[in-house]
Amino acid sequence: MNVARGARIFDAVVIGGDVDGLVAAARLAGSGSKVLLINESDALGGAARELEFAPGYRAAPFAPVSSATLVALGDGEPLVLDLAGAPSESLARRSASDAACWPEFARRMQALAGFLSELYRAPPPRIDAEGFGEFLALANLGLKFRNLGRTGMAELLRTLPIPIADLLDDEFETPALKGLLAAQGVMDLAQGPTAAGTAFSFLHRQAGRLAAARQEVPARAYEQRALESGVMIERSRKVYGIAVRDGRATGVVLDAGEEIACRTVISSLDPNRSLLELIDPRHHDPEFIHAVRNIRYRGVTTKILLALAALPTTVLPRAVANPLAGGLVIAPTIRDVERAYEATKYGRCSEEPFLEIRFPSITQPDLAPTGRHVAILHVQYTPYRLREGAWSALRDSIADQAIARVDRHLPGFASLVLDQLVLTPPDIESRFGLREGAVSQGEMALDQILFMRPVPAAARYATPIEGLFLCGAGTHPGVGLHGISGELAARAATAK
Amino acid sequence: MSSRQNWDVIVVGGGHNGLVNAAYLARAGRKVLVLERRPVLGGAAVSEQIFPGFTFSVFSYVVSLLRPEIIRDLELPRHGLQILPLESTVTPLPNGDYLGSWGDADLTRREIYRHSPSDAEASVEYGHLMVHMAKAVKPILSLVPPDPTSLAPSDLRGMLQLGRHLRSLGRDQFHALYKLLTMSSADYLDEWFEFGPLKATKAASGIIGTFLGPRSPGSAYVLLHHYMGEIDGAFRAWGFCKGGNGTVSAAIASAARSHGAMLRVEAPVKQVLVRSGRARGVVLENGEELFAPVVVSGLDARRTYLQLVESKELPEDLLQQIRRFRFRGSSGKVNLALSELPNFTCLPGIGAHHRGAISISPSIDYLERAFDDAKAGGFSKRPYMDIVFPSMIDPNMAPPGKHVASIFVQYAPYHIEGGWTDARREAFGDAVIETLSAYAPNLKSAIVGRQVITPADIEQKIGLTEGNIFQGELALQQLFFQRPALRWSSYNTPIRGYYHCGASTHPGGGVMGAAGRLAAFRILADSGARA
Amino acid sequence: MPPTGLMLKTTPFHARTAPLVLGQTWRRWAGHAVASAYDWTHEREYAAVRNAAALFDVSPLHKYRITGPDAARLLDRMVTRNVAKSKPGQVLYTPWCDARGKTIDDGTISRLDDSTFRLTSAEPNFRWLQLNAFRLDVEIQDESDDYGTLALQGPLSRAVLTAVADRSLDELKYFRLMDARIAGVDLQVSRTGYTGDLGYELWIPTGQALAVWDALMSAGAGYGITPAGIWALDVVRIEAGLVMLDVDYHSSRHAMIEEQKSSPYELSLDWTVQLDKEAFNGKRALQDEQARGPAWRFVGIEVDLDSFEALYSTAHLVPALPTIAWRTSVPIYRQGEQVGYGSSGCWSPLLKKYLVLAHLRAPHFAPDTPVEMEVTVEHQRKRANAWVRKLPFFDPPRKKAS
Repeated sequence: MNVARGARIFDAVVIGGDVDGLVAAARLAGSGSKVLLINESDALGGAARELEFAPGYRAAPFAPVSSATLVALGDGEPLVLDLAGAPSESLARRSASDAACWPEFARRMQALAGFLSELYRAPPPRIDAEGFGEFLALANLGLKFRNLGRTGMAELLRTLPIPIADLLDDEFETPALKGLLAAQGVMDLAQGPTAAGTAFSFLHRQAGRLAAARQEVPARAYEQRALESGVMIERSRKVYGIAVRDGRATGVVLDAGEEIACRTVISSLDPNRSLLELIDPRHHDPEFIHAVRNIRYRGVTTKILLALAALPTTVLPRAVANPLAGGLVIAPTIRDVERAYEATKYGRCSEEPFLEIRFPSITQPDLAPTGRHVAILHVQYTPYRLREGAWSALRDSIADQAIARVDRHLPGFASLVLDQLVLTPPDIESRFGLREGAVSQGEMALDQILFMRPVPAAARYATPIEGLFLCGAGTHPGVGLHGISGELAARAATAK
Repeated sequence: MSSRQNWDVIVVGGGHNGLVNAAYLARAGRKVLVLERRPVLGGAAVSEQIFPGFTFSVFSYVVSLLRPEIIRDLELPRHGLQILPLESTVTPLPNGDYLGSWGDADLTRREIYRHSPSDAEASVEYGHLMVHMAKAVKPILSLVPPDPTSLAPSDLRGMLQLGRHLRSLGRDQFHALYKLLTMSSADYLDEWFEFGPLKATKAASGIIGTFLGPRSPGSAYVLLHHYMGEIDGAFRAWGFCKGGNGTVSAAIASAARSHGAMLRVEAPVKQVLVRSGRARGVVLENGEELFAPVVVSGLDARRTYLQLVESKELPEDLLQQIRRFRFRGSSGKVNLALSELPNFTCLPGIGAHHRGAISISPSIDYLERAFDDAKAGGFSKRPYMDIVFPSMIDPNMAPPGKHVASIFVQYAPYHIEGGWTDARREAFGDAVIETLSAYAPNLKSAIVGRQVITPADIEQKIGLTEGNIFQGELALQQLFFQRPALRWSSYNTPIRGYYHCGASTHPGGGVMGAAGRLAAFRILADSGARA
Repeated sequence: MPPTGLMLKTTPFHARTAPLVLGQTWRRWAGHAVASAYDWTHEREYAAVRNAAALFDVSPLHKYRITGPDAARLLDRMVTRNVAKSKPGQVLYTPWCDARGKTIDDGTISRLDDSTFRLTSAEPNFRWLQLNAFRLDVEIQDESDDYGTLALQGPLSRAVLTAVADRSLDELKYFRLMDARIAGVDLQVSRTGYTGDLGYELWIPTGQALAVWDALMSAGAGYGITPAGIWALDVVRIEAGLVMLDVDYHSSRHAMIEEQKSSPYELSLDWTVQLDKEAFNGKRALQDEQARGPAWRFVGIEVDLDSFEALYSTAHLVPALPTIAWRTSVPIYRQGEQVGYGSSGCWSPLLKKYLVLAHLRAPHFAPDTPVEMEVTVEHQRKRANAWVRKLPFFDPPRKKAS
């Protein structure tokens, strides 16, 4: 498709108004380009955006979480953990040795997550670094690695590939602790805690939490910054295609047949959408298409948004300032999480999924009417592709079971629910444009990170189509690190 | 023999790596003594007559990875090594059909085509890629792993060498290798194939000896092992050893003896003697003391570090790494003496398929369910099996007209709920026979002798911790410079003169012999430096 | 049950060809048993191609039927020639490439009607077609086993066909295809072949293959029709300068290293690369290569027979000319430095020349450049003088004449 005469002309078009798209657009505009940003829905913010799921109740089910507090609900006293490494009394009452190990372990994990954060500030390293700049980047990375110290280096090498279950088994004995942390390692992942790479996934999540804690900026702020930089934003507009001529992006085609000419296109949509749906496949090498089609998404999460009449009165230890401000997790043991996963392999939902509940209205009271509250219930595993049965038939029963289970641990919880919205993976796909309901836009598995993300031939934001760049969760550094890929993609687009 | 007699080197454990190590050291002129606990040499590579007239490769039963340079250096054919071709792999399917893979490329292509035209082509391309990958990995197998956390010149040199090698692969191959190291075999194979039994049969080779399922990340790497043999210009990747796998050990032992090594059986070592941080020799369980400035352990990492020497001799970080080194034996073995061959419903009669492997791997789900059983603490009720009939290729293994079957079975977890008992062992054996009988109904009546081996038996009989056939899982965090422990992956230990040459070291298990050879080079280099 | 399953495949004409293979000189071609020659030697078979009519069983060729609204788009995306421009009844010879512009395979595309094509190839290409068909509305069918293929080649081939076909072949132009009926069998005839001569290929439903064979053999008797095998085919295709997969070049899919791959330019198939059409596999790389000029060329080499003979007479031998084509790699030098390699060669009984197909590095491939070719005489490596020649060596007007 070629761009017609008389088309509007921009220097760059950014497809997708999520944080990364906004950051990329703002940066391009800041460097003097004429930039148009196209957003499919009315609301900007992409996956991180808020949803009004009941009159007066809003929630952002995929917004970054900065809280370091986790509470394991199970039999007996709830276990309260601070991921930043504060000593835990409730742990001490279970196991003196675990309590003794915890602060050091948490700090170590933070340090390793810190290394990942460093790794995430630049484009992924390349094995075949070319030129002084890239070599320098590689050397710099090597230096950062060295800076971990010998023990730190050893820890990193050991931790990145191993299953979170092994990591925890090596250090701790308390089942509740291990179940809680194991669940953190498999969040939104179609893997169980005994899978290699889940310790990495745990660290990645920590890196995301640290980033979120550093810059807690709502999506609106990014929007503001983009507008101030001179980005033209058009909402509720659908992109039908990216025009390519002789291997080069020449523009985009919008709804109503409007064509826009530009030299640079940056897409923060998922890689399959950007590369295979918006572009005529004949412009790609079949092997490249094959690689993109092999990206695993595999959403496994159902999010239930709840409007609550009040916060549940809890039995949580008073030692925690605000026990409900963190995440409440129901994942009694590693084995429970693993068993929950096993159903996924056969295309079924877990009979006993693990659950995490958050009450975002505690820190953001405006999410609900005065005195009321909002809860987000994370239910895993509920695979996008069911081998039998239809989602429509399962949706309610999944919610009912999950709420009933929470109610067993927080008595009275179910009766507080005024309204609810259940987002199964297909719902997440249709509501948020997240392929297969995967917030990751490409599973954060070891083979889909760094220079492999989303595929090696597009891992440094540039794609085989000249002038087309990718950003968003589907690119390095992946989900939960909002804005970085947008920044790096814009840099790649302006480099020459 | 006088306990005063001095040796240059004492090798603890007469498994194939210990024997290779001893042979190389003896060949270099060292006075070497090998001490084996059992009455037979070979460790897991032994042939024994379990039932009168029926000889079995009791534990390991095929050869493919034995390094060709070892075969050449030690002149193993002259010492009796003969490898006979294992022709094919046939997977019987529940619907009465089968999937075959034969010795000839055209024939295999045609057979796969019958099930999926696309897979027939993919299979060829996949094979090409695997050969590329095997080529990429081969130099790493014969590389002493450098320590990436060290700034010592030798380690930096090693890292540079490794970096150069990886760079030389080029981007595409490097990424392919990276995928292979990190993916699950099911996901990896999904990118290539569509026919379930084909994926499952290939995936099965990725789970052998590990506590992983085909959907577990990291299982793709072992897929490569299947192709390693091909790049050595070998006639065929996998083969039987004439006389059983004991002959491999016997040939290496003979080579070692021919270079002057002394091999003692029924000589269990109790401890390595250490004084002032130096190995001095060993003490046997009967109290006999033997002295040598160099002691090499061919045992697994746990025994090498936690049993043969006292913890006080070792730094805490190493001890911790070794304690965390994962074994988790997951496989068992059933050896059958048969009055006649099993008659498979999918291929009635006696045929070419009996000269190859029969793989019970009808689908990825089947393998995963087998794994789920193991994770839940039981043996697989419907296990994965790799069955061969060595007597079809080497008639000397059984009386005329009779046969032996060697059945590799997975999963049989070492850590089974309630522990392994005689009753559980037999129940496990029954599950194997039941599963197999569904494909070959005459099996039960053909059995004249049955030996069931659980991981607990493997541990008890040949001393492999937790019955892990690779002396420790071949998981990513236990490979290369982390095998068996970071900083201690180049065959030496913190105790001067004490070395480690078992499959717990790089490059790991599978009757490869590489660890024994590399350790020998390390020992010779160290002693050369001293001289 | 296994024995039949394990037997090498035979072609639909096997019942007729098998008794004719007097020397039992069977060979394998794409998993099928085919004759190297029917007689004990191939001399008579070769002569039939250039003098009368030879009948080759080329059934092992892979054949795919591609149908659907996007059939032309699929092929255009895959191959280097412009398929959309072709007309029903037209046949195109074309290579196809990977993304780096290196040749995967070569074959013919017959446009059977607006939305139906038949692709032939040396290697299986079903999966590659499928990968290329992403998002296209096409159906791909492997019909390799559904059709037997006979190549009737030689100056009298038209006469033989005219005698058996239900319609005249006079209108059938070079690289065109038509429906016909022979011995009551509906089939297709294309004016194509691998001999560089006048000739036809017949696409016959497997079940009726023997009837067509019989009809051709009996009608052809008066024209000297001769079943011919691969040895004869190899000589005539070298004379015609036609490249052969796995002999003259390696598929980029199977090459172990970059150096083993060849672009269509390097195979001197420039005329098949249509850079003016829309995106196709390898286009960008081929554009670059065209601008740069290829590093290699596929050329003819004519060995200087005087020089060749002299090498033998020095050893008191008579020259040994390869009457069966060789398919190995032979170094070619220029002024002592290796500049390339021959990949197949043979003695041409017709031209009375020793012909070689070779890959030469730039700039040594200009026609008539003097080079030397390695020749082993009595266990010693020597070099014979030779010249670079333009391909084809043999190109009779009758090949294209109406």
